[in-house]
Amino acid sequence: MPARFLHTADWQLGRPFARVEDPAKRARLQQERLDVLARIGAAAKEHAAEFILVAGDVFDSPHANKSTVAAACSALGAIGLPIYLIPGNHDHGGPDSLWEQAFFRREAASLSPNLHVLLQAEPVELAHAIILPCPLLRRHDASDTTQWLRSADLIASLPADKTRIVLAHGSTQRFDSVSGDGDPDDHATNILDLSRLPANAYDYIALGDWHGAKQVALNAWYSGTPELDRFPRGENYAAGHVLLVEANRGSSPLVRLISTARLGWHQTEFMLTGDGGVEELAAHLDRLIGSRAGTDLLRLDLHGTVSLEGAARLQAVLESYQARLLRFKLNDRTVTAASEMEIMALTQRGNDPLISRVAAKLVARANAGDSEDAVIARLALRELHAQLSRI
Amino acid sequence: MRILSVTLQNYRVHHQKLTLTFDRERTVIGGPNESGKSTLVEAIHRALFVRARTTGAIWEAMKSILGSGHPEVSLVLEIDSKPVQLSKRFSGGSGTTTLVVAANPAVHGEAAEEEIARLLRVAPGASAKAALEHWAHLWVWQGQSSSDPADQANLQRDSLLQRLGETNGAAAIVQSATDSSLAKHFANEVAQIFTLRDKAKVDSPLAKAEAELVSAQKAFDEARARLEKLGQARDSLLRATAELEQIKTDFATLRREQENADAAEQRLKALRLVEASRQNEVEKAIAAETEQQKIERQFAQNLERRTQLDQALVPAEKALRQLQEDSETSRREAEATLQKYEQANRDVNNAREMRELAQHEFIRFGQTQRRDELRAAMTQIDALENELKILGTDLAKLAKIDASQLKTLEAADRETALAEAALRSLAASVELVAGKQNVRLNENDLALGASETVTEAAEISVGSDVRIRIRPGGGTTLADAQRAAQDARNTRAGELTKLGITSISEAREIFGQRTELHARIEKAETRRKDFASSVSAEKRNQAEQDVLTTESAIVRWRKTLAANAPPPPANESEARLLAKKATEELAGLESAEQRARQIRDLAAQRAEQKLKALGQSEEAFRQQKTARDVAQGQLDLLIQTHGDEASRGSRLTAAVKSKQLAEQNLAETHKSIRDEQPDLLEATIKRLKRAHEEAQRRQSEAEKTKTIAETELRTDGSIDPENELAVATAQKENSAASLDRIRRHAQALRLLDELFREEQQALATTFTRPLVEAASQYLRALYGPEAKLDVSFADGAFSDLRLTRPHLGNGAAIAFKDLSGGTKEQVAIAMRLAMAEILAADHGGALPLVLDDAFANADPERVSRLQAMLDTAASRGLQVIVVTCTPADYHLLGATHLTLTGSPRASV
Repeated sequence: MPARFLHTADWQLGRPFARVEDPAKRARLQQERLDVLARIGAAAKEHAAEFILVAGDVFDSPHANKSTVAAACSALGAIGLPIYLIPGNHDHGGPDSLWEQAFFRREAASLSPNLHVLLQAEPVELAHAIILPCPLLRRHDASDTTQWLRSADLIASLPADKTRIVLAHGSTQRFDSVSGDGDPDDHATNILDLSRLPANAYDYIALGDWHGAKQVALNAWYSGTPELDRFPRGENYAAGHVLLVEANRGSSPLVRLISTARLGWHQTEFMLTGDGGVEELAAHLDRLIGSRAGTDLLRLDLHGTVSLEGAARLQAVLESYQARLLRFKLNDRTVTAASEMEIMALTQRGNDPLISRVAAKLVARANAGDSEDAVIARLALRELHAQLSRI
Repeated sequence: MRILSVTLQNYRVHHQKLTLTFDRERTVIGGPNESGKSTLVEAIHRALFVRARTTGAIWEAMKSILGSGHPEVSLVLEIDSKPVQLSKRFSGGSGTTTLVVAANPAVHGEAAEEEIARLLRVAPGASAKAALEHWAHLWVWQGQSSSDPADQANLQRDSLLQRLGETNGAAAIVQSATDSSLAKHFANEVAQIFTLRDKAKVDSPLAKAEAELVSAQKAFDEARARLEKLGQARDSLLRATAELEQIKTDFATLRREQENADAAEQRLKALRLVEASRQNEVEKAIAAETEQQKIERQFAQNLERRTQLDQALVPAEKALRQLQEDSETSRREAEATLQKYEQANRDVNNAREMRELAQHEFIRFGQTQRRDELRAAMTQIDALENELKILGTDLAKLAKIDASQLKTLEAADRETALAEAALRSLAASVELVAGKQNVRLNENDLALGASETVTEAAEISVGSDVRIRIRPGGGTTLADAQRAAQDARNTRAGELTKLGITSISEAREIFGQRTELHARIEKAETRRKDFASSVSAEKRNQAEQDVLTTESAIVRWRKTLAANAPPPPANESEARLLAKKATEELAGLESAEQRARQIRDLAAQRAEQKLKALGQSEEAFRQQKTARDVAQGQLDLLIQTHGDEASRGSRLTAAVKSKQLAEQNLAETHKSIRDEQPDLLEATIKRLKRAHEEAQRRQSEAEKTKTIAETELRTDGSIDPENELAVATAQKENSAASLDRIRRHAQALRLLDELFREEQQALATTFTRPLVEAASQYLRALYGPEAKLDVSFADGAFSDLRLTRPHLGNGAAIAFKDLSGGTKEQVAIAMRLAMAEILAADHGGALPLVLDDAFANADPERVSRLQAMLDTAASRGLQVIVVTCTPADYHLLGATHLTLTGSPRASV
């Protein structure tokens, strides 16, 4: 009999979004990660899932604070369906982990009795399926947590008729920067070598760690995170989903992506050219974000050159989006360079010999490449220009 | 502009009309003090700049002090090469002004005022007070010659700026209002950010950003430390857990090893018991063997001893016999000497008897004589005693009156006689012989001529006032005397009675008889005593006895001597001779006896010694013999106890054999023990104990570590340390970026400020150059070709005038205020000349410079050089007008000299 369930992972509840300076926006981003759980619950019910598997990184840290733990247990309890989870590298098990803390155990027992935290590498038998959890008990595990699944004895001991579902967290490809989606220093560890698992021994491998939904073998999938927590990597970064899986013993699983994300994570690149560049950028951002506020995050890579006047206008445009976006990650590589006209206007002021002379010196300094002096001189020129335009 | 002439009237001291014509270039106006020189140049200034209708203090000050007419001043000027005639009548509100420029029609009043202001390039309609300041740089008033010329320059700033600007050609060199405003703006911005020491100012955004970064870094460090501590606790927990597992395994290994060691120890313990028992057996076997050998040794020793004793007896016996012989010899010798002695002794005794007899016979002669003498004396004594007895009887018949008694009797008799005499003489007879007065004896009147006897104390009174007491017999009463007489009689009678006599004379007679008797008794007694002293009954008896005794001794000795006795001596001398002879004989024999006794004693002593030695030898020999018998007895006992030699030999062999067997057994046990390696086992047991203790210590350590780590890991859950660190990291980076941005902005502002300042300075330098150059040229006339004047121009003002003279002060620039009075004057005039020279361009290339006593502080040499300077100025288009009270000082100037006399009037 087939098993029908939702596969999700990498919720990273309590993620601090430390780089977002505005505390309100940070709270909003954190809340959204909790809110998506209700949408997952709704999807599970809608698609008649029997249970939900979470392939690690439920919490962002092994020491999630009490309010996060309480909120998570409450949201999980509200889902109602059985939920099976393993710890990942972010919320790894171990003696100091939250899984061992009395507070978590108490909250889980009282708020989410449907939650099953699988901390042992041993089969868990359900009505139609066998779950084979590969929990991470430390942040960096040099061994392969799926190793125990290679045992012929184990495979022989499993009931022949039940769907075998592996639950694991880690990278499936060593040294591949694209496959690992955790922190850069995690790549050498937590490697899962699925190729060493006996063929056809397991029917579905539910993976966590990579934040985009991704199939890595015929029967192995990363579900990705249900609500994005970072700017997408690459074009086909299918983040913001859960997987609806129908698996059966001895056959390939059927997998369907169900969208759950609400926040818009955008990234774009823009080259400013000429005096109209700033206005073109404004139009581009308008197309991307529109008039929305508080729901989008943007990573913008800016290149090109702007005049002093253009720089001032650019500043105004960016200021607006800075406010509207939940996060505006700006990689500003634009060069502010006074235009010929601006240089003339600054250096050839017949009635203001002092300004002319100062400006001429600054222009000379500003042209001295990318040295710190040049940067300061350019800033000074902008300042002088701005000050003059105020008069 | 040049002043060609002036005419004034009613102006202060110049009451009368005065006209002076000036040289176009150089004029010296001389005159004594109070001659109105200063008033003159003042009048010219007022005419040029003060409106004719001026009133008030300024007007009042212009008025003539001598007359009542209104001050009038007329000037002939040359402005822009055109002749100009200006006349002003200062009559208050009705003052008039007339101006005629070249051939143009005259203009009057306000129009004239405005026109002349325009021509002189001063602001029209200026107040009188402001007007006084016009052309202050050209008018050096008396006493102001050393004021800072920079101030003068500032008064003329606008004109100067314009002229200097034009001098520098096309490029604008004077900063605009915009320039200033921006320069100020950036200076303010920088001042708000940085302190003078280039540090960020408190509360500036830069300082705040710096502080923020510091606190963000601190928060980051704390968060990281917290997380690291957690990580360490976790590692520590894992290590402790692993350690505890390892210790568990170690304990199991230790237990196994301990069991092996225990088993080995048990075996060893059993072997030790066997060893002890076998050791015991060996010891017993050794003891048995030793005992046997001891018995053998005893046998040998005893046999040896007995044999030795046997051998020793033989010479001892021989020696003993010799001793016995010696002793016998000695005994016999002693006996012989004894007999000799005894003979000597008998001889002595015999001699002694002979001598005794002789002596007694001699003594008997004496004793017999003495006995006969004593017998005679005794007869005499008996006769005397008889006589004494008769005398005594006679005496006893008489009363016992001795001399003292007689004396007493006689005394009592005398006493009686005396008492009776006293009684008789005691009574006094009183007789009144004559007297008229009544005389009374006691109570009785004494009649004239009558005699009264008084025997006791009586009082005679004569008349009424004389009383005489009489005490007859010295106060003793008659009764007393009577009584005394009676007492004496009684005493005498008593004494007589006591003696049994009747009178004194009787007593005297008796006493005489007694005295005679006593004398006879005494005489007889003396004789008796004489006899008695030489003889007594006792003595006589003794003498009798002595004779008897001696005679009996003689009898006895004769009897003893019998035949040997010699015939009795016939008389005493023969007896004496015999006694002497016997005594001498005795002495010889006694000395022979003495010698014999000594010989006897020596022999006896020797025999005694020999006998004693023999006894000792006999005793020793006896003991030797006894010892030998004892030895033999012991030997016999040993044989009896331990059997004969054969049986003893077999017993000893058996003991040796059993000892060897026991030793072999013990050696085997020792080998078994060695095989168990007891030393190693002991070390092993110690090692295991140590290892066990170490494992326990490690266990307790690990458990402690585990507990501590668990405690540290038990977070309160209020914060998430990983997320705290992420937030702290981001905040630190944000702070750093923010600081970077703010710092760069601040740096940009500072750069602007710096550049503005630099360029301002550069502009000012360019701009002041013509002025500085001109002034320096004038000063070179005074201080040499290297002299140089500098002036700063900043924020629209001249300042900081300074003089550099190569030969003075090491060539350093000296500020104007620090110069001496004279130099100040000279520098000030140079500046004024330079300014006038530059400003002259606005006035048709010429300007007047009025110097009113300007070089009061200059020495004559300096003054002469100043003339060169003034001459140069004149040659450059300035009209130099010098007002001085010492015009002679300026004779080198080649100027037109005008002189004002004490009473002001024109003089050409």
